[in-house]
Amino acid sequence: MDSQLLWGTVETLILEVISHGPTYGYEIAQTVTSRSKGHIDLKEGSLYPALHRLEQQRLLVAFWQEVDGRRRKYYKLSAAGQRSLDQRKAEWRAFAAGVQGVLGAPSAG
Amino acid sequence: MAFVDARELSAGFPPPRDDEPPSLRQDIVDELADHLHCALRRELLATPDVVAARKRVIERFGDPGQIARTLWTQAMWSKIMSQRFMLAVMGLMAVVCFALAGVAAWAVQQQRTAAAQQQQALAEVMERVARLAEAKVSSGTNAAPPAPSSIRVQLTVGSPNGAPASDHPVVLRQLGFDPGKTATEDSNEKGVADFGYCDVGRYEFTVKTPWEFTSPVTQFRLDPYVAHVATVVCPATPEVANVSITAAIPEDLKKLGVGALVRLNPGTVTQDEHTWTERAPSLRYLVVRPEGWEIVYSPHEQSVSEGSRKGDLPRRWHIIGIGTLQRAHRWLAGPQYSVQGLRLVVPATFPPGFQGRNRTRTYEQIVPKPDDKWESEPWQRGDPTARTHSLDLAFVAEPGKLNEWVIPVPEELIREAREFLKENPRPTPTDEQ
Repeated sequence: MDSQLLWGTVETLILEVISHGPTYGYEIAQTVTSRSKGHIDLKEGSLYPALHRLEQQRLLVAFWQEVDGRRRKYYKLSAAGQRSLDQRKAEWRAFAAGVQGVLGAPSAG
Repeated sequence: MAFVDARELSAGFPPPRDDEPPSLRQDIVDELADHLHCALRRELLATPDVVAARKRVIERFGDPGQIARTLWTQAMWSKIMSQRFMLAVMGLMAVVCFALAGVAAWAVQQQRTAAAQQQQALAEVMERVARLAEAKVSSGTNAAPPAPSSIRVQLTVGSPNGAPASDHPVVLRQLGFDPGKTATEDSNEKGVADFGYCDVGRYEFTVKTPWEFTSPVTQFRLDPYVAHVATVVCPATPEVANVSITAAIPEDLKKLGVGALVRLNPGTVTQDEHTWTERAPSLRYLVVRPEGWEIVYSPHEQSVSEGSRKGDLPRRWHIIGIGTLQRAHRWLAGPQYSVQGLRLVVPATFPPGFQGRNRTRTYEQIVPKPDDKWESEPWQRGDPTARTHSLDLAFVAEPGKLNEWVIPVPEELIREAREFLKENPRPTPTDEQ
């Protein structure tokens, strides 16, 4: 997918993935790829800066756990993150409806 | 199975900073290393070749060091910017401090310059004060503390070291006022006319002698805290001499009462190159007759007699005497007197019964013949001296003898007088006239 189309929605996608439960970076990337059926591929160069930015904005809360002898950083949604996610999803849906209205329904054939 | 060497991830970090959290670098390394480890495990599910799997993970991930550096910078961004802001502020403050130091240095320099100027001005003031003090000492009033300005006039006779000139009125006038402030002080037995404390400003004064002579005007400026002392050398009191004044008139005209009318100027005496002038009317007129001489009114003041207003007296030129006939007069010896302008006159004639000035010696000018315009209104007359014969004599009386001053009468005047009297005969004058 064109990175310009993805620009501005990465944080919304991350918040949505984390809203289902605490998770970590690699799993977030895999989940986005899986749920988008391979259309969206979050590069690590974009994923981790976005995660850290959301953490600094207090929308995510991070904590560490040891897994197989390694330290793993988990993220979970804060209350503010949940409110931000709701607002972003509403805005996206309105935007997508507007775009859809302009582009029209996809043809059957 | 260690996929990533921590040193490889740490290579992208900048040099350590004192203000960064202690676990920041390790947290970043651990998070990225966990990610790479998970990715490698997933690749190994598809291929047993570890090297190939690792290569594919790196190709997908990108440069781990670069990402680690990005995350570190993102975490430290606010502190970095804060530090830069502080550096900028410090730099700005340094510039301001330098500017303030420059301004302070400039102000100090200005103050030094101003102080130097003030010191110079103070020195000038002190110099002036010293000069004034010296002036006071030289004027004999070395008194402390400084006294207000004052004026004294020291009068001596004959020379600066002469005897005191007492009883001389000194008239002091402050200039710049209209009317001027005038004060008069008589000199005491020490010859001092003391006016005491006076306002600072310009003054002038004159000295009068008891024998009615006045000094020239002396002007001066009275400075602050200065006792001004002026010394005036007065002429000595002149002796008295006897003076007789006659006119060289032939006997035939003398019998007809012909006299000479001349102008007598105030006397002058010179003392130390200064001319003192007699306090007399600026112009005095004398009629010199065989019987004696007398002072008369100015010819151009009394030319129309009161009789003319009654219509019984022709409107003619009359010269009226105001004194008694003098034969030998006591005169001041020393001052110089000058006599100018000669005319010949005869006693005026009056109609019978005229009650005017018949007891006063009244004269008519006959030579030179008065201008017709002289018989018009007084303000229409010309210069009364215009119709005179030129004469300029100077007399100085000498003490201890009779000074005989003779006014010469030119022959042409005598001839004109005779012709006039032949055409206009006159009665022989009586003694009353």
